[in-house]
Amino acid sequence: MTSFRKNTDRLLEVNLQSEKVLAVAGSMVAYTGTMKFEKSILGGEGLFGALKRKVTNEGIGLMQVTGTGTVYFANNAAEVAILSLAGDKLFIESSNLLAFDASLKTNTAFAGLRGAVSGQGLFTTTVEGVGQVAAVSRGNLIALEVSPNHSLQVDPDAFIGYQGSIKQEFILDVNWRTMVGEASGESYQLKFSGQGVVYIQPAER
Amino acid sequence: MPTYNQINEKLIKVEIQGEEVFARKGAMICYEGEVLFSRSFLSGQGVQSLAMRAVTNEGYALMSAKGTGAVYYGHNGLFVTIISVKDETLHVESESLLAFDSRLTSGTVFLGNQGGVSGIVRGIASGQGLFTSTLQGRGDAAILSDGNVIGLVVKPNDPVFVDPQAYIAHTGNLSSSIVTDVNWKTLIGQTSGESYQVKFKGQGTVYIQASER
Repeated sequence: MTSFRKNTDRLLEVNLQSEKVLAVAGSMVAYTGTMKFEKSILGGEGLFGALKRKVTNEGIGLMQVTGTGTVYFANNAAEVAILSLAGDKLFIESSNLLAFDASLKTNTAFAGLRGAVSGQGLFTTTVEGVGQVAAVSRGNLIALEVSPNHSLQVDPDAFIGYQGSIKQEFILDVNWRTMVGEASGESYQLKFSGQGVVYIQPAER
Repeated sequence: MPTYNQINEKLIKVEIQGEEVFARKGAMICYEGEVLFSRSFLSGQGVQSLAMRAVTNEGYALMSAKGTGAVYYGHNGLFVTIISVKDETLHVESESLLAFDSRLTSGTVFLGNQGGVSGIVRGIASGQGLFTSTLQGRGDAAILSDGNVIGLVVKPNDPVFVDPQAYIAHTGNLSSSIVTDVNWKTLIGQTSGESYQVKFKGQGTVYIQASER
């Protein structure tokens, strides 16, 4: 099992014992030991998955790192967070993905109206299985809990991902002021209800 | 002796008592006491090395601060790290250098002298040019990085491989060479984005940043 560790807030350290890990192409900053870097053409999703990514534009340039030693990954000095998956499914924007265990399965899912409005595209990436995922965010990643009695509203520009059995809705806050061009800048939000965790960043895209 | 203090991760304070501190031009944020700033042409190196700098394009505009008091330095909200140089040579990319004092002698090194042809390739590949700056002696230097600086220790049997775009500086007795990882996928345009790396061998420390230029 590969082990993910944060070396600093912005640097991910992964130890490999002749194992493999998938990461965003070009995100390696340093390594020790013997490592091989290869473009992962299918991203472990098979031919159909790759095709779907092409069509949905939720493409992620992934590379496969194989070897023994320690690899360091970083992306534009963005903060790194490590999320553990125990057989559940994580929905995450592909632009916030840094690296994940090769044992995890990725796929593309329809994001609904959210994607269209936030400019993140109509589709989102899902990661499923048992293992670890490293996500990047501008500023520390914040996890907010959603429970049946407490729903959560999130700005689509700050949204990164979610985990658990969550239903998402799109809400509009449009009144006569919006119509005359005096918008508060928060005219639409995402509402999450159910049971799970929503991840956001303290920055808006 | 100038003393360096970290105010926060993006700002340092250098206290001087009649000594001279060289810093990247325009990096002074504020100062206390009687300090005079002037454009430093020679930066304590003499005419020959000035000429070398001009020719090699490893030129950085330096200013000197002289007097008694405290000077605060920072640049563009980048992270600042203070590195102690202990009778050794610190190799640093000139664009990552923030400040150093007159106890250290600065110079310019041709990368080709460091690893033959591969040194040259490294300079071209990383877009950092064919020359790098050196600081020699005993003293402190402050370097800039996008994200925290990470120091990786290199031991004789443990070479460290670094993405040229994340490389900032190194100290110690290290030799660098370029390694390529080119396979059939690279040739059909499917690169992993990591087709070449710099290998550091020997004994010392390599400093990298968590971002790629």
